Amino acid sequence: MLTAALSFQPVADWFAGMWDTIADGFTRTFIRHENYKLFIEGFGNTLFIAVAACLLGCVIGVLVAVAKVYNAQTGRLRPLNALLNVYLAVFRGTPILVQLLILYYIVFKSVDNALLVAIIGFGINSGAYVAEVVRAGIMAIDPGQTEAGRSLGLSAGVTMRKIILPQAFKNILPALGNEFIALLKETSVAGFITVVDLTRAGDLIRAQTMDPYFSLFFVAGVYLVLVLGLTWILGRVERRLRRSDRR
Amino acid sequence: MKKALALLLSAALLCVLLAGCNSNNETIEVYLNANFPPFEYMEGNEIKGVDVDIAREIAKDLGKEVTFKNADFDGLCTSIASGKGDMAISGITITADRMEEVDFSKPYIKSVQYLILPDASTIAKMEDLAGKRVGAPVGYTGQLRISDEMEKGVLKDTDTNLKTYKSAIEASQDILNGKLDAVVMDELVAQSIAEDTDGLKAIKLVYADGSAVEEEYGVAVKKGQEDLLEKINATIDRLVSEGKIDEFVINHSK
Repeated sequence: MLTAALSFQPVADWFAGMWDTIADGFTRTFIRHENYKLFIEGFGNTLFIAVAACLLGCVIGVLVAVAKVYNAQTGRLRPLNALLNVYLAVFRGTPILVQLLILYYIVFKSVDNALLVAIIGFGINSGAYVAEVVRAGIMAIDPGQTEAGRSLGLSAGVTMRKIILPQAFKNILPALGNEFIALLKETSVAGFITVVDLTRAGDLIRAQTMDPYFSLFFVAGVYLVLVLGLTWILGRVERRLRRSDRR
Repeated sequence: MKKALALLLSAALLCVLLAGCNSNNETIEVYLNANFPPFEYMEGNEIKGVDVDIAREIAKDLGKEVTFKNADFDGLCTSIASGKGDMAISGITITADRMEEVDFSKPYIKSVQYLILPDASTIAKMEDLAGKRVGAPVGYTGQLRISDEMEKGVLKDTDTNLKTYKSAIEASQDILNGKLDAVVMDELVAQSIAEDTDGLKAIKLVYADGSAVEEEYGVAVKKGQEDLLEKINATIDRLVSEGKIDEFVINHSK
């Protein structure tokens, strides 16, 4: 009995040591210096930037897509169309981090609200991607739908708003979901322009505790939970929209 | 044709993989963050600075080649602790928190915290930073000290706004753009930036009672490498006694 107990002692010690390390890391990362407050602030900022940029991106994206489709159909907006092509090429063709730094250090040089600059930056960037997704959605709707709407005496605008866009939206929802998920994760570079987002909160805490494990895995876990939540919501919306489908 | 291409590509891949793991004994890999003049900075695509010269001396005494890896400052000690690279020499202040993660050589230079300010600024001491917008890079002594002061020191409950950056140079840019009132930075770096930039000045950061924020830089190595540490200390002793470190500082301070 005694010998058996003795031989287990190192293992028990190892587990106890392991537990101490984990408890110590947890305390240093979350409790000491009230670090959890920093994480809460970072979480709030990440969520705020993502949601606001997403809304801005949708508004920009739909407007750009409709303008481009209108031009393709009627050929009446050529100069605007050329301008929009430049916008799409530039914002999809350069890294978001570089765009953010340009916005923060050059374009909005004297705007002392990094959060606002981040929202504008991510919104404009996301708008370029959303525009192409929405355009694809509109193009995929049978032209007969537009013709039918116009034959019934609806104006071009009403036909677009009430007939084409709702159908297009249903088709492009998965692609839009992809874009929102990418946007949420891209906000992790906001720290470069002094915004304390979730990732930067982790950086700050890691610099103070010198313990990479807890802060990194915690930050990764929070992003994962956010994306899973977003996926779930999008799935619900998709199912709700499919209720009217013919089966 | 396809086969030849495939062969060529796999050969190329193999080269990259082999080059990736240069864990041979002929070179030492030094981690640093080349955004900290005069200790380390980029000139063209070459890393230069006081720490670079010190690293070369250490390598020379060890009889090895030296390679440098330019990484983010806030990850330097973590990298070394997890076994990446052989040592970090990057103006790293020896602190109790960091000593839990890595071992330090004996200090090779003393430093003190400075403030980088716009020329017209009237800020003169730590207490004057209350309610101001203060910048510092993540993980630097300045950032850690200011957050300490805001949590429980002289800046407590003063709605001081601490903004964090990747480097001192970016932070100083924000002073020029009017988004910051002060940057807290190590002495020589602060002086170097203030000299190179019109409209900026550098003053010593002191408390109302006149005390300064003093610190010492050391070379960080992975824990438990007594042999290596001993040799590094010997090199530092030699450099200090030969007056080489002061010489390096003068050389790199233009």
